[in-house]
Amino acid sequence: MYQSTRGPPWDRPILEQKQPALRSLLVARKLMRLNTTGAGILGTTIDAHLVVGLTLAAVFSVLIVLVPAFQKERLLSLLSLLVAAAYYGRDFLGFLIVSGIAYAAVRSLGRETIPARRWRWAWIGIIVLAVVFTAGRVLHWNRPLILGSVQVPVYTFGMWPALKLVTLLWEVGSGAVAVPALSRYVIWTALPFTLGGPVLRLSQMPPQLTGNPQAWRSPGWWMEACAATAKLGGGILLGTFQQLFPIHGPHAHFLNNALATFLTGPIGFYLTTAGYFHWMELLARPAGLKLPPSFNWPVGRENISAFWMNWNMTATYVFRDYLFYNRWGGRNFNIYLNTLILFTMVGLWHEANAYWILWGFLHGLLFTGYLLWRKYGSRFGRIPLRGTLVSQVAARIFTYFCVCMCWYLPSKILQKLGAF
Amino acid sequence: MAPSTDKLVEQRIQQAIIRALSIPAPGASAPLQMGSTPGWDSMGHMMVVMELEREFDTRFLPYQLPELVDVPSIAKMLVQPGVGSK
Repeated sequence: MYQSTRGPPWDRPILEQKQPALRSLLVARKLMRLNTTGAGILGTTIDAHLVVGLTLAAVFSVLIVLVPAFQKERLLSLLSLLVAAAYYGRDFLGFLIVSGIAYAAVRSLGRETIPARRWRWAWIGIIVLAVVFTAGRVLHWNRPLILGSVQVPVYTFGMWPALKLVTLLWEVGSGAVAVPALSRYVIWTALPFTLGGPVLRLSQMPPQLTGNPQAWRSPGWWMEACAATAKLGGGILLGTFQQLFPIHGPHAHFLNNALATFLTGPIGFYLTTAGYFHWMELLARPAGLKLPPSFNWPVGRENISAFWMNWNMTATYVFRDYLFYNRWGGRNFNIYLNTLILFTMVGLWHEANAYWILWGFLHGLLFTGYLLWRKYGSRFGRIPLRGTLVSQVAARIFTYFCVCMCWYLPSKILQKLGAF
Repeated sequence: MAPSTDKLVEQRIQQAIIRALSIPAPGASAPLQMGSTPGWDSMGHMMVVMELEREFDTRFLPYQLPELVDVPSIAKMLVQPGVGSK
């Protein structure tokens, strides 16, 4: 069965078109009026988690500002739990169980007083966490337990909580932060501004969340809100267009694929995600929290390194700090090996399947190629047009093309290998 | 550390960074900093770290590497326990 996660993140609706039942639904939609069809597809393009996440973050932010009692740690932790329960729904119990086990592990780690040993145990904890996270996905541990007539989900471990816990183990293991009190841990884990990303490390969290109503009064906040809304809206519209186009041009396969691969897919995904994260930064400010930025116009960067330095930065920097700079106990850095490991791990973090592992590996190869070019490129002598406007534009186009190909190629490669 | 020793250490750090990145000495208004100094990106950072370790005959711990982002933070890290001889 074709799983919707075995493709680029925006491919879900297009992949679903391959299923006969939905294909007939799309044909039925085609017979309806354009605006109805458009509205229907617009509705399915918007991810429910996006709407729920933004709504809960907004409610949380308003409550902290308007009800000073919620600025006290105990009440704030209860509020955070309620919001997380609303976000996770029936998976909330699984989230609580995993977070509880993680906290017990971190407390145990914090009892080790010898720094070298604590650091070693932290690394063991990180490896165990990574193995559990991956195994959980491969073996579908998120399926609820059936107890009589009741379904009880006991394991909920998404990509963002997993990455946050990695940073907690690292920071406690290194001594950068002390083991947090339970209430602070609850607030940090269940913070609605970060449940679906971005990553906020415990060291980046202020000692207390105090309301900051001045944030709403600042014209800069409102201008940013317009920008964030424009990004989100643009992304959703591109996603809608991507679904509408095949319906109204069913025989234009090449054009449809080209548009999805180079325009509506990647740009739509980028704008939606960047807009969502930008809104989270904005909603966090009135709550007295400064979230680190996530995207800094990565599309159109001059090389793959600049792209990754500006794409999903809170997550990228975790992988960079913990993997790229790693000497694995040796004296020297092996940046080529670290690059391949890092990006393969990034792929695995997205999903534990062949598509995403291959996606990560392709990015690793691309980045390694860039590193080699950077080191040895000058040996090729003077390259015509180097340093000119033409070469700068060409570099940007080439980088964007390669990034899109990394999304496009894995499914094609796997189809050729018969893995689908 | 006495202020003159601080200054000396910071000068040595600056020189090590300049050597590692093969860049000219910066002006007073452009302090050396990861991300803003030309060549001091993730790749350049590793060259900076290795040059600093050579200069000060030391070895930074893994979790210290991401914190070495400018001259003051490097100076602060050099006096921390745990940063010792190779």
